[in-house]
Amino acid sequence: MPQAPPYILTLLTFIPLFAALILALLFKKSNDLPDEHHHEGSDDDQHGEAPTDKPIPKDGRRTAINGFAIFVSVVQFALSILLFMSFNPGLNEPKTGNMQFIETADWIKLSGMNVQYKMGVDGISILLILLTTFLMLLCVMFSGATRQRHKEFMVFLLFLETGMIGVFCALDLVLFYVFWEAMLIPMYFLIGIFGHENRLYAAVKFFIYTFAGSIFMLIAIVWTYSVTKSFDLLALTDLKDPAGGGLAQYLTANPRAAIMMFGSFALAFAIKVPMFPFHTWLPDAHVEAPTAGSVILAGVMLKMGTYGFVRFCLPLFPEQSRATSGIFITLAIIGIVYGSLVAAVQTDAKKLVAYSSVAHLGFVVLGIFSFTQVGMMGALIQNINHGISTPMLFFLVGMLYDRRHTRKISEFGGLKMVTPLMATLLLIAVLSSIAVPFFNGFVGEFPILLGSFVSMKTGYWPTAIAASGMIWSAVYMLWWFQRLMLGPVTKTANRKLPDLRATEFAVLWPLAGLVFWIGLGSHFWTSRMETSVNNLIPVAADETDETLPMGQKLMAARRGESSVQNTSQRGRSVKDQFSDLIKQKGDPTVKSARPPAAGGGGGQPGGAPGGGNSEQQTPNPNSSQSPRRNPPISEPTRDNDQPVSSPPDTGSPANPNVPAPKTPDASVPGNPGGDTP
Amino acid sequence: MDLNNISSLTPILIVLIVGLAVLLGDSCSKSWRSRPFLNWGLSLLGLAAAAVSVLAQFEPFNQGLFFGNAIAVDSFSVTCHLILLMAAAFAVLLAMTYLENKKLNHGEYYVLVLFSTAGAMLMASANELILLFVSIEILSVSLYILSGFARTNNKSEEAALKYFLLGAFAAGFLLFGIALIYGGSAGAAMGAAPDRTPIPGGTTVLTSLAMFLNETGRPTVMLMAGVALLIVGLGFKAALVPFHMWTPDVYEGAPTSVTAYMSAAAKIGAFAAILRVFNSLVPIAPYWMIAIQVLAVFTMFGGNILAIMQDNIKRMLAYSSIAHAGYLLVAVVSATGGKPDTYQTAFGAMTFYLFAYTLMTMGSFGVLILLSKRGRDIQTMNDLKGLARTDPFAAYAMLIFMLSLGGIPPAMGFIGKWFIFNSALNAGQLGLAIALALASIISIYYYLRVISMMCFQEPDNKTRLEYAVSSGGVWVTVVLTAAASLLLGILPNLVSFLLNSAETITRVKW
Repeated sequence: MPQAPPYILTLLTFIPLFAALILALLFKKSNDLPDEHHHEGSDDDQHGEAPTDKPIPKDGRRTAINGFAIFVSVVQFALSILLFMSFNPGLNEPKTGNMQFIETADWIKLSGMNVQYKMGVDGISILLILLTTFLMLLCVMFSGATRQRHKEFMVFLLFLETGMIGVFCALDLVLFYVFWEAMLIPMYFLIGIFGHENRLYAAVKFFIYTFAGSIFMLIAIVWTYSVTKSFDLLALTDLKDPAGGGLAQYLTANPRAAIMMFGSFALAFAIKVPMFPFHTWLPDAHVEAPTAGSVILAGVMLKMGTYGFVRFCLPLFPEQSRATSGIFITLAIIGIVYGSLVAAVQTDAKKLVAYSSVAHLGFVVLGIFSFTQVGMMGALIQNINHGISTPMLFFLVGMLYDRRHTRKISEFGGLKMVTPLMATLLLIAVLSSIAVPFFNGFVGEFPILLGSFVSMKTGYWPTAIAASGMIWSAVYMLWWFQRLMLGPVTKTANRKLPDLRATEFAVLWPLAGLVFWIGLGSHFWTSRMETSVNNLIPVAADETDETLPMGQKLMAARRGESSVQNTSQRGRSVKDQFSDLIKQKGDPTVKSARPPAAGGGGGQPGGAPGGGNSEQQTPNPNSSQSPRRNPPISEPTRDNDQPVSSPPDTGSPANPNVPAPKTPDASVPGNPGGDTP
Repeated sequence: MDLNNISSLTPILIVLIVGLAVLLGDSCSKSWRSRPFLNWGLSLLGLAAAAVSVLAQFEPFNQGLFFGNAIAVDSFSVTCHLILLMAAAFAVLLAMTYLENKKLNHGEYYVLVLFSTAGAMLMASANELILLFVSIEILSVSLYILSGFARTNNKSEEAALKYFLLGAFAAGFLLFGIALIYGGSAGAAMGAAPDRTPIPGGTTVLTSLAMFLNETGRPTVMLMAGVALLIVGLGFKAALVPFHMWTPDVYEGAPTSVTAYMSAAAKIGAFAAILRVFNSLVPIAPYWMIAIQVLAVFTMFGGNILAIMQDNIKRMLAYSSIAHAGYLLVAVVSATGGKPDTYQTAFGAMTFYLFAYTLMTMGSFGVLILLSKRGRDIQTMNDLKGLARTDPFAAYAMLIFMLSLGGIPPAMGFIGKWFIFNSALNAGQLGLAIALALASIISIYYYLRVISMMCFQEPDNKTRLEYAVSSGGVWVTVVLTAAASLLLGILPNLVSFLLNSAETITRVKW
């Protein structure tokens, strides 16, 4: 296993920043090429002759800028691969969980506050970092021919990379917020300067939408601090830490405040995802952005929303996330169906891809809020998948636009004859997006639907509606492909379109390769995030409904009684932990502590519930493999939602606690959901 | 009058004496007038000397109440003094060639800047309401003249007259309010030791007033009427909605360097006074708190909503400064309405925001000065079109100021806003925090509009600017404020003294 250099996360985050500064200050700007983008409206019929892609005149400065940017991106990509290789997926420390490469330094120490520069990665963020550096390399390669203000384009791309990697690494709430907001500025510029006709509107809309969500997150962050005196994410999610314990106690004691805080975080992330009612910025921004901007927006920025849910909402507000999961699941399903239907009727090729993102991200949110291990795993993999297939689609649409200067679907048709290579790659991207087996989309969407099906949070009918999204995606995607590529060539302008150039092919084939790598070898990727996901959804908090045969099987697999697992193979160390877990689960003292504890929260209203909570936590670090999150917190809530369901433990043959099914009845009157004043 | 008393005033005296020296030199000596650098050079030297003597007052040994409790030297006044001196130095630097271009380079400008700075410093130190009134008048009269400094320009004259008339009106409110407070606090003044029999009449010394109110706990109607009038008078100075009507006209008409100075100095002085006055009224906070809260909400939303509609960039910045006054009022509410143990955070947030605000507002006016043509100022948003291509330095400096004003990291304005959020939540003012958040969302729109004009639009040939002879002073100001806005947004620890501004302020524990 290679060894990553010290401070690798700092290097990864800030190399692009310094490169951007060097580029901005030391490099001379390249000559602008004649502008073809901005002065052309959509009335493209006047261009009888297709503008052939004129070769870019030789320009030493342009070459230097491109070379430097590509060099930096390659270094970044190499560093992130090094990080990925030296990452230990099985590591599970009591305090930090799967977090690795942690760097800590004091940053802002003012008026009693202590904001730390705290960075770290776990199995969830490491894949996103890898995706970011990978897509950034492709974008830099693709954007070498930017016609106007080429140097600025590269500078903003590099600034953007710093913000994005910072978001995925930050473990301090304020640090996270700073990266989260700072990242908006370069994106705003990319859309505003380099976008299409309606770019000013789209840029402002994008910025204000995101800012509106995140300013409330800032209030929630400050609120969290005023309760706990800590901004440290790891401390806040650790119940044994005074900060984490204090937060849990406060949230239990003040349900209204808890919902407001959770809502503020969730709003910021829901806008970023974007979930159904907050999605209107997305089509504008994606369509108006330049190709590289759309790729980064779809490939990385949308992932920050789902990442935020997984990293902040779920661990900080476990009870609230579970209590409100119905809302998120509903919105996600609406997003899936609505996004698909709206995508189907688009006449603009790029807008169709943009709306398809709404649908795909709906799947991801559905998987996250199913609160099952399978669903979560699928959601996180689908996160990555969407970051591969949609950028590929955007690249291809961008290439079509570069050739024809229009995005109208009706302007194309029959391109398969003219540009066979492009058609092939587009087909790969389309099939990946539809989630056909063997393509990467399938290994993401199938576990999501499975998780949603077995989850007590969703169940049969919602899953059925969500699953219809897969059919809808086939409808709009295949129809789109057909209108672009199949049939006779109807427009004369399309007769002489050139096929992929070498640089374009170089951008596309790695993406196509990844489509199949993830589609066929998903265990390589899922095994990295396994420990993190298990920490996030410990066995005892898994919402899998064990009355279903499939749920029983899944949970049995989770407890390590069977080595078969649908989505992934377990690493050796994880297996060991599971066998430890079984031994501990056999301990009758641990089990018997549970049923009274579940009702204990309600038995002592006022300041006591938190205390009761932490009491009931004490056996848990031993009984569950994850000491970081307290699983039973979720149990009363679940009872609240599904009073008839049995706790997950009962299905396990290893569980000696037979009278457990009575637990829900005993705890219904006194669950924390019920003790709201 | 012992030496201690005099030494408490050293910084203010230095500023005043240097001002007098410039006035005498400029008006009496022809050879002085032929050397314009003497004016600004001496002014800068004087401000630097005053800053050094302010630094000495950071030592708690030199702090306390002087002149029969009329002058307070404490961490709060000292911090405000430093910010004011910085603003004055920028005002001098901004004016150097700008005034020459406008053929207005008279020594009086520097004299008036120094005098008004002394007035504002006195406001930050005044622990006595009559002294507060006098210092407000010193500041205001200087600013009236300064805003009419472009004598040949009708708009400037209009601004001066408007400012003067409304200012005089507000001064009447203020004075009447002080009189009512004096009457309403009858019995507060203690006789001389040893018998301490109450002498007739009340008090205008803020610390005595605070003690008096702390004992009685209930204000008289007359006192409350006085407080209400005081809010009107101070609210006028601080440009709170609905007392803000003069602001856009004066900001637009005054020469830009004066606008820059006025937007910072008047605000610092006014808020220092507001905070000190209401700090002493804390024992009766429940009686007036709602008024300040309502004013804060009105000011935040009024300023931001009106700013959206502006096409003139100076008017837009004027409304934006009104909105920022609203944000500062949130800190005032947190400092005076909160629990006894959290007021220090709020004072710190206040001074930090004032510092950040001074940097960003003077910086953005500095960019406008940098871009002003000979004899003509930048007026509309369209004048900024395509600036990133014609003058990238000015455009990207302006970008930093706009982001900072909007409170977007990594600029300093973000840290300031964050501290205000923090103090508001510490004080339990969740509603105001949410209002502040909503108001900043509105504000983003017009700050982005400036950025969009500068960076996203192509320059028209018509609007391409012929630059004035670039001035070292303006350039230095813009570079310094831009660098500081960015650097202190990333490393706010460097100015940690701003957050300890309430360490030694007198506060009644009720």
